[in-house]
Amino acid sequence: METTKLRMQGIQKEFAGVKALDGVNFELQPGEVHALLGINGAGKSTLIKILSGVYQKDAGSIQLDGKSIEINSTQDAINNGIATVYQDPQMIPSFTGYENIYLGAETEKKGLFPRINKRNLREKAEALLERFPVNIDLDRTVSELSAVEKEIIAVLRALSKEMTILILDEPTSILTETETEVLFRLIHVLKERKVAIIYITHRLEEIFQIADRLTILREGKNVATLSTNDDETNNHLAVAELMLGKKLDKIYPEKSTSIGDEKLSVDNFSLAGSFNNVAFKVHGGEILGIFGLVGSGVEELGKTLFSVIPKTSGTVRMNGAELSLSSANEAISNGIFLVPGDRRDEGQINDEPIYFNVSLSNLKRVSRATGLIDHKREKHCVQELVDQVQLAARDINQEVSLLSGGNQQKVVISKGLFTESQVYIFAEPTVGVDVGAKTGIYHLIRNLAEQGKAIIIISSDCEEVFGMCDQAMVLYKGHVTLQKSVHECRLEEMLLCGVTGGKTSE
Amino acid sequence: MNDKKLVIFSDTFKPITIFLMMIVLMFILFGFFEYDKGYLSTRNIRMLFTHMSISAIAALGLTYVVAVGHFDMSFYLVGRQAAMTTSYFNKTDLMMNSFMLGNIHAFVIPAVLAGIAVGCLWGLVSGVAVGIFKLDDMVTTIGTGFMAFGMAYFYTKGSFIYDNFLTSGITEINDAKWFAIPFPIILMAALYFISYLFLSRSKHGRCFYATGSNKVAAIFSGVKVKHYIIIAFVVCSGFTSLAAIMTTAAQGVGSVKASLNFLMPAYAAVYIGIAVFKKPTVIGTFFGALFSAIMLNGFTLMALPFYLSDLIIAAAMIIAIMASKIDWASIKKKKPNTAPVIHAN
Repeated sequence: METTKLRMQGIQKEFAGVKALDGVNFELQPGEVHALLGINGAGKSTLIKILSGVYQKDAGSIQLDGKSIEINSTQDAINNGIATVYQDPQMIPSFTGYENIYLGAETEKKGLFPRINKRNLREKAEALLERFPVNIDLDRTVSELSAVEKEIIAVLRALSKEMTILILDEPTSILTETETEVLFRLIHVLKERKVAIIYITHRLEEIFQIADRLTILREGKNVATLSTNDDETNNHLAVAELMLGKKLDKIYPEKSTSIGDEKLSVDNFSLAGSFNNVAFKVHGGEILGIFGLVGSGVEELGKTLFSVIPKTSGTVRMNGAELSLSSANEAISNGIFLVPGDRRDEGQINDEPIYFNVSLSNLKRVSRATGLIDHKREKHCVQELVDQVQLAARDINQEVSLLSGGNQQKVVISKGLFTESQVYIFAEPTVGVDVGAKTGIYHLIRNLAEQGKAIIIISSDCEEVFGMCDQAMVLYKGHVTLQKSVHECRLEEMLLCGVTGGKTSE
Repeated sequence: MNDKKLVIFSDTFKPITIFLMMIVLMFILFGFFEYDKGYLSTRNIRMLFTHMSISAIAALGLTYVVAVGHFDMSFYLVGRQAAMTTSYFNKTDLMMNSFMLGNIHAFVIPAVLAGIAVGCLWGLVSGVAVGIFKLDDMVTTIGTGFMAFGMAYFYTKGSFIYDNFLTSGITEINDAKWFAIPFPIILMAALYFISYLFLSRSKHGRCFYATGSNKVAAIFSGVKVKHYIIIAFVVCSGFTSLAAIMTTAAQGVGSVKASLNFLMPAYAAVYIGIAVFKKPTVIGTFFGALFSAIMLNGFTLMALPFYLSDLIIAAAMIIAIMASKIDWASIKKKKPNTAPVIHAN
């Protein structure tokens, strides 16, 4: 029996009173690929960040090769041989592969101008490739390499520093199927060389191809650690159910009871390279939920509907009349508003106060005929909305960057409400929002629907889509794999369609 | 409710108070040393504001570009072509044959407008290149600026234009007085007032600042970002062209060097304003320009050579920028570094 490579016990971590991790245990054997699973907010990324030194744990112990260690910084993690490879590794595009592998470690010589022996570096890189045989041309510059080759370079860079634990954070989310095969071949080589791998992914089918064991987290706690060889666990549905756990019905408001007239109808809607032939209808008072993982095209679908990205083909009808939109400005003036998923970059003007952000999309409403802003009316209107969404802020002059994630989202939603649109698209409405605020946002969205607005929720959180919407749609790799009333489908079915495209294994 | 009003009050008036204190301090300082030279005389103060008006108008234009989050390196070069264009029209026979409006020839007005139009055209080129084609603002405006500079030489191969300056009435732009207030000061006041309404009080101003602060979020909010970038560059070049024409009128000669010395003072005014107001504002730029003008005027009376005044004003700009980067609140509190801040790239 080999000694356990890594043992994390009773790990606790709290963020602003919310327990992200509550006594999590995790074990890793040498030469093992151990998958870490959980829905958004389950705590898997927090656990990984503690291991790689980005966060510090509040309680618990970490043992490496049987010895207790403390990881207080990312440097500590690297010194202990723990490396993280992210899905889009940062490199210098104009340097060749081997130059990137040895970046910052080109020579041991000291001085102002230590000479770099390029041939020496190449030889070292070739020796590295001999130990970890993988088919890659290290003489090409990184800018010429594909996504998987960049990841391989990043892995090799970690290996060149004698790393013994590799964390692969959703490595396949931006890879094609053939590229994924290449990466898996490298992982098999690493296993033979006794490198221990923590593998994080949303794609369940991969886990049964590559992982030896899997650990499922839910709400910051261990749910199960299973072996993939076990017949009982070799079943997507069982794993998906474990990830989701019991239904938390109370989080979500009641479904719609009265559905009004058709508001938005979309036909044959496509964006080259992202999604194909999407068609749907949304009625007033109804919520359409669109579920899809990162890279499935859902993100682009929202932006294309809002005309931030120009569509390749398709028609959009509003109240029966065809719209031809070429900018977000036109979308808003035609009654469509998108609450974007990336608040920091797309949603808010960070260093401006709340009232500035809320009124920005519909300044006409608070302007006089001269174009000057009627401050009194603006403050009044904004205050009314802010009270309606129950924003927790000092006052409406506070800068939005000082608010919490949930409150920032409420500001962006208020901005949408201020436009008095007919159709609201919510992209990832609760990312980075704590559970309490989540419920508030869900009720806000449902209230909007009850006022007769048509709502589209786009999310990579299957449970959220299932809990909120009246009509469900699932996208997998740009194709619609499920589209029906939510009363007629099960959560597991939706998850399966989004994760595997609807094909069951076996 | 009273609390809310107080907050709004302090947000706008605290920086103004800081500026007023700085300016009073400067006046006391120079007044003390230069009292015998008439520093505090009405005549000197009127001169100070007249001199200030030219660089302040150029700085006002630059404020628009900085508000949309860009830089303009072309405006001081564009102004030179504008000044030469106006001087060239001033020289033509059309000028002397046009009818009189008071003591100026009517053709002065189209001549000035032509100069401004040429300037605006370059602003349009820069604005389209930066706003629509997303070229780098620095490199693009250095390019457009030097193209304009080259074209300024087309009219006379670079030699001065003296013709008609004393007779056409163009010098009235500088010399005229309304109710004992020099015309340049009135022009400055008018442009600052209009710009204050436009940038700080109108719905368009909101869009300028939204564009400058977060372009992507502005687009998602339905702001026509490209339009505002183009308008900013056009306004910047147009205002600078007017300032260059004012210089020409003040000097009584058409020179390709008309606005050569606009670059640093304009940036100094805008950035001293940002240092106190935390964003590029019309009031901030006004106080920044006034601050530099007081220093410049005081140094001139002290008979300091021009390069030393430039040096000191440039240093003041750098110190202002440095001061604005310091987070005074966090220094006072000395918070222990708890959770590490992760910057997403």
